[in-house]
Amino acid sequence: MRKGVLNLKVFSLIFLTDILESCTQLLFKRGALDTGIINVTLSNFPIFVTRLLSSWNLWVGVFFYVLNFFLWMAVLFQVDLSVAYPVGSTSHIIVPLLAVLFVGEKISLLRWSGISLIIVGIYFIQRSTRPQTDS
Amino acid sequence: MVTKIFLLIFWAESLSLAGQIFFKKGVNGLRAESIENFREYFFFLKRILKSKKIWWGLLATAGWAILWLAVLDCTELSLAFPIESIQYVLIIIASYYFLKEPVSWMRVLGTLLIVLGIILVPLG
Repeated sequence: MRKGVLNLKVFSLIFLTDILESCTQLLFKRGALDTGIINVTLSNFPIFVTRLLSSWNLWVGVFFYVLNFFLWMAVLFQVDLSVAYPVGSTSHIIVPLLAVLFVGEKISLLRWSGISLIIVGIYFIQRSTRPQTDS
Repeated sequence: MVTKIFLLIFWAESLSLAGQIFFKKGVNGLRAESIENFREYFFFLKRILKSKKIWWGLLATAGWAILWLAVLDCTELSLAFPIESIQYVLIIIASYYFLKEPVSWMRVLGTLLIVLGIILVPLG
């Protein structure tokens, strides 16, 4: 394995961390809803935090976050942050769309162009990680 | 109200950015060893948790999480995500200046295409 190169193994790992991240975000959002406070101000902030800490959604989210953190460290060990970060934000967009496709629904042209741009973007970033002597 | 949300997002994103920089600095600070199996991964994690920079990163991320929860409480998740796309540009700049990463034009172009794609998909 050449260090710094975005290979399939690292890519899969990044893909997984992004899926975990969106699960975490959704759980955090549900945790925030559990508090019953819609408008957070400085005065109700302590109550907001106390109620948050008693939400199961939040703690499952924290568990997912810790798992994600350990995987993310392995990602950062192998590639640059400027590679991992942009690539690691694409699967939560691609996967739900693939799911839609799998169910048999149609995906609009605009969405297809969005997905194409993302894939070309990942390709460019991958190319930027190859050793210079390659060409 | 709008100003408040904007400030919340600004501080949340700054903390998130700082966290990522600390994480990467912490990982870079470790002696280079491979993580090919679970044993090596376990020792890697042990060293990770001994790094001060990693803990600073975790602290920043905890701050981000609290602020981000407050943001989510004020706005819709669908609205909050696009705002995060500013983060990609900031990460590229910070990687170049603080981490001295080899940010080539190809990498910048790749990132911009991804950002554009992320903006287009929800519109479709």
